[in-house]
Amino acid sequence: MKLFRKDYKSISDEELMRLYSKGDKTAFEQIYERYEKFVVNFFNRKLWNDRIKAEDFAHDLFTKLIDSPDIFDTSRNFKAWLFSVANNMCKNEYKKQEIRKNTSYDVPEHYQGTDGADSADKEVDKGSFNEVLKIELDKLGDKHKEVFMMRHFDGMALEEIAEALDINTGTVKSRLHHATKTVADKLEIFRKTLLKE
Amino acid sequence: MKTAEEIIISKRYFELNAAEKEAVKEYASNDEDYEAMRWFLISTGNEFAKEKIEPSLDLRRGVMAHLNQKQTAPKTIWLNGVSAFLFPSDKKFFQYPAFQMAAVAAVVVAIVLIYNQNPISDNQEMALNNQTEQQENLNQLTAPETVSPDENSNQNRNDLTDEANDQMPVETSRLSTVEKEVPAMDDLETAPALYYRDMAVAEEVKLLEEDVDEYSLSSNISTGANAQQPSQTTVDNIAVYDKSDADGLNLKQDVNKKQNGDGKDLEKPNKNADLGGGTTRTGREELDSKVVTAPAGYSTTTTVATNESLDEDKSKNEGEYKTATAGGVFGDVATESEIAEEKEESAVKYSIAQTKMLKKLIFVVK
Repeated sequence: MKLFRKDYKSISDEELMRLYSKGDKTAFEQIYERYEKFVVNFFNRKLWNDRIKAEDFAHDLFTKLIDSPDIFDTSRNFKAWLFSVANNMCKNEYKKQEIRKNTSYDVPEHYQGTDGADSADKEVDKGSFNEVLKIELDKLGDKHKEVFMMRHFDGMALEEIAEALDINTGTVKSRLHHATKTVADKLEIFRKTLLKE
Repeated sequence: MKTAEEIIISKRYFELNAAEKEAVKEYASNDEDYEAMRWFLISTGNEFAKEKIEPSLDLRRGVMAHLNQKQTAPKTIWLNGVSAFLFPSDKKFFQYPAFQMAAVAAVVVAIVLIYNQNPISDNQEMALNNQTEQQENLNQLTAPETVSPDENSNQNRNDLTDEANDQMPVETSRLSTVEKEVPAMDDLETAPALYYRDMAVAEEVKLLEEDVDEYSLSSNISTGANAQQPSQTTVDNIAVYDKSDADGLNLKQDVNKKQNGDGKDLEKPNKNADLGGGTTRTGREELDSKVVTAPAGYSTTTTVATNESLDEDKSKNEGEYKTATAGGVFGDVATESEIAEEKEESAVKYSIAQTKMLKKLIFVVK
């Protein structure tokens, strides 16, 4: 019987969605296995590290996909399409809240906009690389920060980022290069400090 | 192909080849910058990994419960897709499958109508009817198989002759139409046999007709008794005899009749009656031999002469004919024993001829 059993792990996301549209529940289970963690962490990052809200949004997204599998355009990349749907849900949530909460990667409320070197020194002093990273990313702006987070946090390819954000791949490369170089220069002091120690 | 970030994270600077150095040139142009970028990317990745959370089991249960509650995809009804297939909305009218199928159907109907107007079909029906009639004729031809050979031979001869005469036109028409008809598969095996059988029947009937004519010719002239039943054939034969061979005999009879003045002399056996003809054979034998050996042109001439001079000869020779009835045609006075011998001989010949005809009839039936 193994000869006739489908190897769902080797099937692409788009083909799995086509199978699920025809009633194959196992195909959707495979989709869920692949993107459960991705979707939950995405909502967690975008919705102020609110884990419960992130899981609620993830649940809504998957149930929407279960009820209406035909809303997926099989000609598109599934991961990019899923990200765009989740991003739109977050934007709707932002509008609903009317107040954008400060997430861990947003600019803290107490941030005063002091000199980068001084803040870096303070952060180094505090020994918190993570906090300085969040601060410097927030300084980049939404466009550069989003590309940087999608590339290094979500692990998306350049093409997927370009499709999800509906921009050119060259633009993605440019934004990513600028964000990486800027933040890396800001956090260079941590490396020198650690090397001295 | 790996991106610049992936190359930097996975390799040290001295491990890079020329192509990889060209790829990471935007991020690091020397060893020190490369190591700084590498340290940043690895540290950032580690920090992000720490930030990631694991989805709870409740989320999985909730999603799977919803998945199991949802029924499978609704079964589509094929009939609803027919109109969508025939009249797709995103195509022009001439690209509709319905339009194209209708066009093909119209072409097929037109071709069928054109071919149905061909008169060959009518000929085929006629051939079919002829085939039926010919089959009936063949059945009639096979019917004489039930006739017993013990029946009257004369009646058989007449019937056979009439039947052959009646069937000859049918055979001719059949032979003329046999090329047109298309025999059925069942008739293919029997058709040639029946055809040759019909041909053999026609041939045999023709031979029988000739035999019957010869026999009637010879039998009617054999004796005076038979001559008393004049028929057209008999009178013709007599006339033929008169014209062809027996001129001298008639003259002899006339001379004897004139010399004697009465019919008594005729009762005497006139052994020299054949002086004019130079023959001693009997009248029937002589006539038979002359009919058989007479040239065709001569026979034709005599036949014409016979028909023209029939009335004259009949009126002229009426007296001699009646006289010949009593004393013999050629002036011979036949005794009772000779008459009996002749009767026996004729009976034997008649029986031989009958036997021959029966044999031929059996052959024909076979």
